[in-house]
Amino acid sequence: MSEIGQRAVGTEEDDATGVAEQSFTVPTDLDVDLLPMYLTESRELLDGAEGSLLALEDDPTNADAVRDLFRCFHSLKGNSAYFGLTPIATLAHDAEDLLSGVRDGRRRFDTRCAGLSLACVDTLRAFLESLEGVTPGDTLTCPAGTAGLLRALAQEADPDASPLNEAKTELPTNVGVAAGSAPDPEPEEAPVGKDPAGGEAARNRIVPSVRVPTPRLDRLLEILEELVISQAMVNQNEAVRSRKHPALTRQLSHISKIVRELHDLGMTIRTVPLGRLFQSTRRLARDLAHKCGKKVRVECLGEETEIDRSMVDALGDPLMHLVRNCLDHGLETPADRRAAHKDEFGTLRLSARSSGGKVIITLSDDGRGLNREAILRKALQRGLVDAASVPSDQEVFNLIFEPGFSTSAVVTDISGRGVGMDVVRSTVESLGGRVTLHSEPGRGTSFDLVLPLTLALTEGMLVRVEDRRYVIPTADIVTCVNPSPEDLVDGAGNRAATLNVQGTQMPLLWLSELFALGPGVEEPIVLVLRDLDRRFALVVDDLIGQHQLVTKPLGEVVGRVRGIAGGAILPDGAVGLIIDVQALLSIPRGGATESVPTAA
Amino acid sequence: MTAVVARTSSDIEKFLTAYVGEEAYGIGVECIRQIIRTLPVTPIPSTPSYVLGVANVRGKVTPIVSLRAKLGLPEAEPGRWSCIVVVETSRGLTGIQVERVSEVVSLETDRIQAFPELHTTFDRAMVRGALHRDDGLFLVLDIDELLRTNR
Repeated sequence: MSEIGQRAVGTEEDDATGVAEQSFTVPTDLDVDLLPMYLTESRELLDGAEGSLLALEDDPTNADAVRDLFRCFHSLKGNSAYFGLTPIATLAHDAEDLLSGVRDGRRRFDTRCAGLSLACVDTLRAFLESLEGVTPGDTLTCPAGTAGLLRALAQEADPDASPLNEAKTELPTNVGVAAGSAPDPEPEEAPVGKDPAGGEAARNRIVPSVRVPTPRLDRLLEILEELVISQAMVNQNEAVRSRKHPALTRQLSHISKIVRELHDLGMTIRTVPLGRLFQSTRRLARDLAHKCGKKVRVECLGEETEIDRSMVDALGDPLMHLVRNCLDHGLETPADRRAAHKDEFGTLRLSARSSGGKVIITLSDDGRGLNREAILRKALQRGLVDAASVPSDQEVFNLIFEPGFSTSAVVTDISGRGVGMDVVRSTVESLGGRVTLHSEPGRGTSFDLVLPLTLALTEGMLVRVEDRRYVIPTADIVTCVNPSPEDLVDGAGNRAATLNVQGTQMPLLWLSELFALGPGVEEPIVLVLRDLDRRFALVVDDLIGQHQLVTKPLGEVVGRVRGIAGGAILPDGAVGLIIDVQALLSIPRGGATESVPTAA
Repeated sequence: MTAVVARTSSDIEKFLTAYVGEEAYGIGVECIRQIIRTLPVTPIPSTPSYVLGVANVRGKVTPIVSLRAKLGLPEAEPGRWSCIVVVETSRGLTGIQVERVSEVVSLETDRIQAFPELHTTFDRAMVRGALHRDDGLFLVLDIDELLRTNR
């Protein structure tokens, strides 16, 4: 994710004269205890500025965006001046000047203006980066390109703009991060311990909030999980189940309700809205489009959808790669698009929605779609496909995820990590999710990233096969039937491959067979399970009972096991394996092959 | 987390002595979180033989591996003294089943020599070095490498 911030967009501002960058000294009276807070808040200000800039690019008349933008640079200038970080304050001031021209109607927010402003954001981010862990009195070099940027900004400045010297004395002296009187609180959060509503009645979208160190939050959530499990164990206790003590049962039921509510609240603490991730992706798309000479409009939907904060970082690279892929290969040049009677501007849509215990992120374009022949040819070349086979369109498209398919070591701005489609898939899978794709020639391609909401309390049915216990998520169970033994064998006396359940013929699977467990009992129970719109029947020995459980991944050392979604602590303290219903159908008969541990 | 720290030659490191059969192996104490006698382990289908399964360690679903299997030695009954050494690495918590543990030894880093054997039943990267002691060879394990998931 940090890659995006580090890349200065405005390459047209590169300092071609080779002038060395200035250096600056970190003030000797810098309060290092306050520095982290300054850095965090400044980064948030810059994120806000970037968002407003992108919005302005789409709609140069957006007055709100200009105001927000101004506020961001102004606050950053003030805070930086307070700490004596002059170069930062100066750059922020120059950016303010540039934008004041837009705000006052003296100039349009054109491409040059956008490029310069975004270059300011990038350079300021680089400044902040260089301040990490610094000691008062240190001498640092300004980030590459600063001198060129300052010159370019000076060139753009209105003739009657105040000279730099004057500007310095104008800087407010009572603005400070810790002074508790920042006149322009950032869009997201107010400093700790101050009245956030003071003087900002108009900004009614600011919700008072506090900063909590993440480890403390994580610990809180861990304890919450233990509480959920303990409470489940209490409910399992004979004395409770026997219902001999109505008052006790009632009181425990009340506790259950409270715990449930606490859990739901905990889930909201764990999650963050996808908006931040989308913004970075949007920024990347814009930059890449400029580089490849393509025109793209980015639409974002469902930015308020929340996912577990631990996943946000991991998703950065895969999304970046998908965007790059879309702009390099998916979208046609404006000329080609015109020839195909399409809008010159291609559309890249990023959307997110939650459904059940999952979040689905979709990235789609209206470009040329995947080229079946080209993919098949490359796959044959790399021996990924048998020359004699005739795969379906979907099977061909899915080949792009095979390791060995991606072109090796493509030198890209994503810094030669050799990120390919296979890494996109393996990253999503390591988060417990999956990637699917759809494509139509001439119409476009879309990728769906389906991710689990961790810390979700899954309702599961505990089943038994031999001496092993497994959990099947209740949401995936349609019904349960008790067939007679004859229904389970075919004419030749072998295990039947299908079963007729209430009039529908559906595939029949034995859990004991899938996990190589043994023969199973004479009179088993059959569960009818669903995976999207597919139905199938699963044979188990016995049903034990329903439980609420917290799903956990099995750990990198174990890796991904086909058919197992994760583990959960059962009420008796043992670990139960949770079945991944969607994957059961893809396990070959006779058992799955060995698990593939996730990357070392 | 086993931090990689620049060590001077006079550094002392501490290792827990763990036995598989008669052979002694050293596990750096800085990565050890707990030692548990026995634990119900839930086996997982279709996993490599060294993965014994997962278990509930202090409320966490924790993978348990067998040191014996990782060393490529033939299977054997666990024995009365077998226990699980729970370590923490960049991969999270993992339990390593060993047959017996005994004292913690302090060793000077420069006494740990390169492991001489060329032909082993296991991946040589798992052993950081070796030491000759009165009762035989003491192999110092590299836990990160041990838990690395290669073939």
